[in-house]
Amino acid sequence: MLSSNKKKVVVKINNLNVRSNPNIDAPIVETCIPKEYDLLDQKNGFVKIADGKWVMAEYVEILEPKAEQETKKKKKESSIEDEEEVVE
Amino acid sequence: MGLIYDVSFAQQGKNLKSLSNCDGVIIRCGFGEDATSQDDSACADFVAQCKRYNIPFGLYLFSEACINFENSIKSEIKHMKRQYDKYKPTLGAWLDIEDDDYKKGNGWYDYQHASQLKNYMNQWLKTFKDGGIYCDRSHASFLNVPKNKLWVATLDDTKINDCVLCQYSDTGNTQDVNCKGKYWSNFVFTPNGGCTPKPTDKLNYQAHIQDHGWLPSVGAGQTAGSTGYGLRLEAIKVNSNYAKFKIWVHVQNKGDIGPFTNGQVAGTTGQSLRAEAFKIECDKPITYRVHSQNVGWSAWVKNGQWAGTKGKSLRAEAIEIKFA
Repeated sequence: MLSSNKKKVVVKINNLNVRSNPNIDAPIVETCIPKEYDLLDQKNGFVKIADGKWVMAEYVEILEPKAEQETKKKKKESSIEDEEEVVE
Repeated sequence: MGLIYDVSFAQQGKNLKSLSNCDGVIIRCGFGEDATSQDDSACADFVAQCKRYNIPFGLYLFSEACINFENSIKSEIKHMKRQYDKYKPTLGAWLDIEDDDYKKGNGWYDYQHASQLKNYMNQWLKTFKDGGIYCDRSHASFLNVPKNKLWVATLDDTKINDCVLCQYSDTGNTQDVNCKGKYWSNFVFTPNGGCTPKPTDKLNYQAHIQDHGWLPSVGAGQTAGSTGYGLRLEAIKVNSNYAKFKIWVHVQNKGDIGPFTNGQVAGTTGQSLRAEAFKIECDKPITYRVHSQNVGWSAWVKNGQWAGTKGKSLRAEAIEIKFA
């Protein structure tokens, strides 16, 4: 349950390097497998996907936590309903 | 970016006038602790010649610190400081760290004393802010010498592109370690570069710049071009057996040109036109940045984004490319 409230990142491309620190000059630890990861931290244009594993933020999509998504969805729905009421 | 010569007592009596077109000379000012008897006998003459011929010069001290280490480093720093204040080198003060016969004879191997040597390095860099560490690749690695403070000595000329300063013999015989009577030469590619990955088939690229033409290829993340010299970057050429590149260049008087693919000249040569910005698309994730006149380095951008400036008549001066 807790995990659903964490921010996630999706890596959609192959061959993205994973670095040991949030720095483009940091050593490459491995290459990233395209999938969804927990977002643990953000720094210096990088996102942390595990301890000692950072990838360049430009190449990932950051997803909002599910709870936040639902709140936003509800807000959106309610604003649409309001608009509809105004139109009527 | 140019040529620097390393001279010491081994070249005593040489006339440096023929070097007046080089980018600098690094002069051995002595070795070990502070004693005039340990000053390099050719130093004063070479400094005078550099001043006479208007050649930029730096000083280096051959370190022998091992026994009574703490006292030795204080004295060695004092040794350099004395010469530094006297000669006022324009290229800074360099500490030459290596496992020489003296150290080995005393059972001292630097890798076993990395933390002590790091302490020494830090004290040196704190004292001489315009200098650095002169050592081999192994020392550079275990001392973790800051990138922009490193002068790597190597006798292998295939590694010249790796470093700010790489040592090799000007005879072309890179195996000739007994260089007595000959000059040693060092290539400088950027004043603020460092020892970085050498060009590989996976990724290498080179820059065509004002007054110098094509510079040697550099490896991933290295600077192609120059910074601090006011020279325009005119074109680049990217080679890779791993990724496919498409490059667009924003060129003075021409606007956007491209795409240029692997191995092609991206930009112009022989027309004295400055490149101002670059856009690169690659089938692998890459990141790159451009150093522009009056601006400095751009942010690292990703595939398909422009780096540099447009519509401001500012020259691009250098570019760095690496896999993201």
